[in-house]
Amino acid sequence: MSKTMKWIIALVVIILVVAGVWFYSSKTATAPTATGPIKIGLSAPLTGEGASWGQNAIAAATLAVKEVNDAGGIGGRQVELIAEDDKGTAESVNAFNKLINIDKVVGIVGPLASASAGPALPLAQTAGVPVVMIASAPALTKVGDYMFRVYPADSYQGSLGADIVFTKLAKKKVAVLFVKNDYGQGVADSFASKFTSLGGIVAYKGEIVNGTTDFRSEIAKVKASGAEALYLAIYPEGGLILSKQLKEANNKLPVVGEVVLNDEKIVKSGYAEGYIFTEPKSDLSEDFVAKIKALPDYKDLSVMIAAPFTYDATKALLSAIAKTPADVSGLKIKEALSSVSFPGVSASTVEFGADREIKVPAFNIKQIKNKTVIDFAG
Amino acid sequence: MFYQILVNGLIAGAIYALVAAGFSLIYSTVKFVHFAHGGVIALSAYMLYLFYSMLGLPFWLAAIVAILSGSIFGVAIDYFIYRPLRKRRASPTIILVASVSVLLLLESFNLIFFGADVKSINFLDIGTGLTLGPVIITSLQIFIVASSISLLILLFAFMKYTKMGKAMRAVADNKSVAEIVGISSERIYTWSFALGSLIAGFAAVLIALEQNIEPTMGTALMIKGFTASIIGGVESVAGGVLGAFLLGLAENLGIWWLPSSYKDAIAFVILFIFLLFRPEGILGVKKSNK
Repeated sequence: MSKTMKWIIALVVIILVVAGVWFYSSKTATAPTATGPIKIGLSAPLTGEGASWGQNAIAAATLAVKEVNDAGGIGGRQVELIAEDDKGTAESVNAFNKLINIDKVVGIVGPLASASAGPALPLAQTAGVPVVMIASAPALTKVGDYMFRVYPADSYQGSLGADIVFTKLAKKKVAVLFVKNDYGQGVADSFASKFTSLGGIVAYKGEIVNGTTDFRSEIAKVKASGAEALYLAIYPEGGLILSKQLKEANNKLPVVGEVVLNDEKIVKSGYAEGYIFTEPKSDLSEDFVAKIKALPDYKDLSVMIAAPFTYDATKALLSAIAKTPADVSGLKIKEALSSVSFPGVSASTVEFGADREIKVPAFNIKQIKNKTVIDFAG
Repeated sequence: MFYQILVNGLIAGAIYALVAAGFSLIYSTVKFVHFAHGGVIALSAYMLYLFYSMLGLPFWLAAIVAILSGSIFGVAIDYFIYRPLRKRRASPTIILVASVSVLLLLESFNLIFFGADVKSINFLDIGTGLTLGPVIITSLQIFIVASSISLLILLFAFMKYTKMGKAMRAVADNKSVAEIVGISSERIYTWSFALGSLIAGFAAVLIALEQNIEPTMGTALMIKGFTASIIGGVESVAGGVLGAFLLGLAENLGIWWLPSSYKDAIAFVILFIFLLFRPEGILGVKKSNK
């Protein structure tokens, strides 16, 4: 082959490569086309400490998406759910980056853990992707105007717990154990400030690292503090071991916590007899549980409170998308979210206020007795 | 409260010791860091769950199967992963990377086959612990502490007096000389993995009863077990057990004053102090400069 021939071939190859790159990039640079599935993301702790929440979340979101798809999708397009594991930690940043930049979702459901939400939400706000979260740390919706929440913020639960300990149990001195992250700190702080404002004393405030399996020395410190009651803000996996070790240590203090204690493993373990907890009112109706269990992969799932909230969050996002089927951009969906209103499974009506929080949070006070959850009578 | 915290430290130390003993035993002969040891413990714990809770075998039988499977996993990892690497004269760093990969692989395996949720073995009835003076402790915890201490004595005697133990020490001390006098180092490696991983299986059964089983438990256990054996002297099994008790006590006595979120910080500060001032550990022998 002559030298000239080689040069010509090289030139042709270069032109083809440049043209190919230009063609491909110009194709992807155009606005998302109005064909193909509408993609929404889910960021949940599919593994790790909060795995039971994550498994419930993915099942519930799958159900909500399936219902819309079975009814013909939105504007004739199917909805595709892309679930990413945020491990209940700052791993959420990777999850959000992938959902926003690679999958190009139009909205995100979750995170469920405040520790995940804190670092990741600004990414969605900057990218203009609406988020409907379940995570409960009070400050999270203040990240920006694309942040919505179906779950009542921790400030409600903590102060409600303080009320129960001070008024209903008439204990004036309390110890608090909380997991050291946005969630635990949020609940513990609102509990402590309410309890002291009522006139009580917080005798001991113990921080726990997520993933700890040995609470014995914390228990010894609680005992030594002279507290008359114990308030918990801790994840289910830790709560299971903590309640076991409390029982082994012959704990006589009444234990009050919040919704996280309503975990099937904790309730059925028998370690947590007599524990009292507050719970955002959300009736796990048999109908809803049956629908979840009817999904192919989830017949053995122990359905708990994460499911109805994730279901409603997903449904809120989907209803907002359904309001603007012609233009599924973040801006339009965000605007539509503020006018969403439907009867939910986690609240009688799912509607967002001007602060983008669920409008009417409702609570129950429950107690664990004989390995079941009953209404608190006292 | 002091006595309770002292006992809490012993319990924590005993659990670390169960991890550190097998790890140190393996390290002492093969001379590379077998992080997958934690994975073997987790997998053995799941074997207990599989045979006891899922298949309904009697507990003692399931426990024996779990302990033996620990040994089999350990030998298998050595045979299929480390041995080919050794044949290619891979450096200890490469084997270290391989062992971390195996650890992650085993965790993912647990995740795929057993799911992400926490499993508990409901064999023992959880009642209130026994009150011994100012201290509350459960009978399982007494058993764990007792078996850790017995393990320390048994391993010490094994290494000192049995033929196999002596051969292991010979390989640990100088592999080439040991081979000259007719000890097959490969055979000793296999035995180290078999025995060390048998201890891992034993640890798995006790830890499964005391704590819960979750897919990533191996990493958490390994971090503390590794720290313990560095503190105690990584080439000495007795040192590993001793380091474990020291670590457990230091962590628990430390959080008497500090919030318990500092537990890991306490552990690693001790690790750094040892690495800086006594890198050979408590029972380690200082290598002479040649």
